[in-house]
Amino acid sequence: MPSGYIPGALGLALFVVLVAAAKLAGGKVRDNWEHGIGLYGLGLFLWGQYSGLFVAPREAMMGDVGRILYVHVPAAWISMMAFTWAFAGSFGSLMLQAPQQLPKILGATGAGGALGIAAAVALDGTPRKLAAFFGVLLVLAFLECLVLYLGHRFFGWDADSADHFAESSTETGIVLGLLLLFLGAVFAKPTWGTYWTWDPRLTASAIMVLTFVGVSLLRATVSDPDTRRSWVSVATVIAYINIPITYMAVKWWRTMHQLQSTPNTLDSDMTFWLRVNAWAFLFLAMWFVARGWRIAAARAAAEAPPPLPPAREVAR
Amino acid sequence: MSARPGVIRQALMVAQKDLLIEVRSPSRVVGLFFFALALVVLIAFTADASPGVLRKTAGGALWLGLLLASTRALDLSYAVETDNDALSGLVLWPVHPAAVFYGKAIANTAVLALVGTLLTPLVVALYSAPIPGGWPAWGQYAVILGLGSAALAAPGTFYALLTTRARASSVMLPLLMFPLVVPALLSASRATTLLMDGDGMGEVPGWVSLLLAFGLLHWSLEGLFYGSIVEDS
Amino acid sequence: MVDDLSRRFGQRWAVARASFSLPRGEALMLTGNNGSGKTTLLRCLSTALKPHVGTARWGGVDLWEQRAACRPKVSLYSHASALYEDLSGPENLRTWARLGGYEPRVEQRLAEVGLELRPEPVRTYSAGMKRRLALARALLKEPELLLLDEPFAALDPDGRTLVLDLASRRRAAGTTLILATHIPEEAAKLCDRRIHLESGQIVEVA
Repeated sequence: MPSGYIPGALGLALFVVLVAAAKLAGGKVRDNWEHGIGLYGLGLFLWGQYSGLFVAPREAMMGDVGRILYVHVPAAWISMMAFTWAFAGSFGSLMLQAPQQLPKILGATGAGGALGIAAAVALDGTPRKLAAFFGVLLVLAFLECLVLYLGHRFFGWDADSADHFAESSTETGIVLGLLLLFLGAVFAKPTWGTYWTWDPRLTASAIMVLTFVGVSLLRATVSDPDTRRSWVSVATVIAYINIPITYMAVKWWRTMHQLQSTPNTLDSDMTFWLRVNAWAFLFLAMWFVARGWRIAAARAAAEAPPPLPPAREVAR
Repeated sequence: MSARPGVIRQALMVAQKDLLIEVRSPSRVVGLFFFALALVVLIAFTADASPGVLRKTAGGALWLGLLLASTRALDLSYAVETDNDALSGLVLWPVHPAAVFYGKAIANTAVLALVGTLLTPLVVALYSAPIPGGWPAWGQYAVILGLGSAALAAPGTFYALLTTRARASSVMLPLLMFPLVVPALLSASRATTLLMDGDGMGEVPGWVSLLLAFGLLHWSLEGLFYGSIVEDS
Repeated sequence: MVDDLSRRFGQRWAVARASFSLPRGEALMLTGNNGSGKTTLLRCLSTALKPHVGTARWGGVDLWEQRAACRPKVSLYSHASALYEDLSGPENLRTWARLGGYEPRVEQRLAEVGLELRPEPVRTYSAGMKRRLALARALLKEPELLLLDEPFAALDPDGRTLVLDLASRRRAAGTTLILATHIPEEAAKLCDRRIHLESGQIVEVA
């Protein structure tokens, strides 16, 4: 079997080429680059699903039921990824409220991250873990701000467009998350004899999806566009930061009751098909998010405020 | 003329003001207590379990009652601010947004902890769940009650402002707040149940530190973001 | 000091292209029908609202950008009294005074509006008494710029005289006044300038 990373590398290369071409053509061609990546994802999806159902070997313990793996696991991974994009978009929307500050923040987070990593290399024990944790956080913040800065410079991103990206990502994440939960129940019934096993990962996912459904409804509730943007950005950031602590709590709660073993006996063929399907989900999610991004932007343009009325004669 | 107080003193003044309002109209806290009590009783009824099993649900019932009562408490806490638009009065005075947040969060913590304290003897009686272990165990219980109330109050104070200002329907607050406070609810109710039902594996300190971590995270996050919600944008 | 200021709510421009300036110590009256934008304009000046277009400055400083510094100097008195109904009048004033560091002024303000000894909760006050208390609260700051939104509403003749008297005393002490009303007769005793608004725009300056 070839490496499961090849379809992904090809797709990502295609993504870069399409975006660059759209950017360089500068409006002379239709810049709906996302259709290219979406069709590539659709092709991968059909191939991966067919192979998962008919080509890949049967799962040793669960038999044909185990084939649900090729939808369930990609949905789990990519929904998490979509929520990460939503967080990045919302965090970006907050940062882009003052884009002129970005170079300063880049300097601070870059220096802080380097310092943290250096301290982690030098130190030992708990201080090392702490330094590594904050170092990695700062490096991630640095990368996010770098992407924001470049997007602001070259693609004209602002607080609104970052928020539209977050909106679209949240919706995609919710759809994939609901799929994941539904499949989890379908999977659990023949395997453990009940629809819901309170498996820590599934339970934490359910809570996560519920959190983002709340955020999404908040977006639907607020009518003023500026208020909506800042409120939803903040709510998304809080919802995302809460995920790890929810996961920890739920996992701990469950392990105190029973130890759940997830069969981890994938042979390399199955790994390959799993990766193909995961890439397919990724590119499809990118397609959805990019389309949703355009739709959100178009909707925002439609509800843009009317122009100021003409100046009136002032009597003195 | 005396100087304008700093953020911390302003926060304490806001808390004092909110608590004074609670003292002046005690019917609010009494109402909250009976609301939570009704839930605790109904949960025991519907569980329809033997005393041994009931004891295992005591912590969950107590914290579920407090959580649901907290949504009422939070709505009330903002009702006094929105009646005459005192909230924007605070912002324009100017009181620092962080002072408004921490002040109201402290007051809400106190109200929840008070309702929890009043509820405790009834939960002990109704769920036949005495707390064995004498004063040290009761000390632990008080810590859990305080931390748990604080952990519910911070996200609550934040999201209640959102839903109040959005004039959203009253289901919005639970929808935003409940999934978020799952870790707090879980750790507080587990720790409480373990105190009542026996903590064979010494898990209580772990749950308490999780509660503390959750509280610290949310008290800092929401304090940071409160300004961007309370100001016009 | 107000330059091309515009503010919208949803799809409607509540104030559009408002420009005027007012020397310190002067008194200005805003007139216009309901919905003509008087209140929105005052709320922008009070830094409660952010202008979507244009700026409002006070003493050369952008009110919104420097709102933390400007808020102690500007006070808004409007139908939203910012009072806590469960507390008594003196308790309300003392709470607000402590939050701003204005405690020594409380007794004087209470005396000015004639509410020294009212230990009952504000909930039981009459509408006129609430208005007086709200005025006392707005004057706690001793602002440089006093914004009065419909100051005569819900007041009996004595109350109106009281408002006029207090406002003219502030003016004599150098406070700048901006007053929105649709009863210009009363306000004319106080104001020497007038701006008339129609559907969010200034149509007349006198």
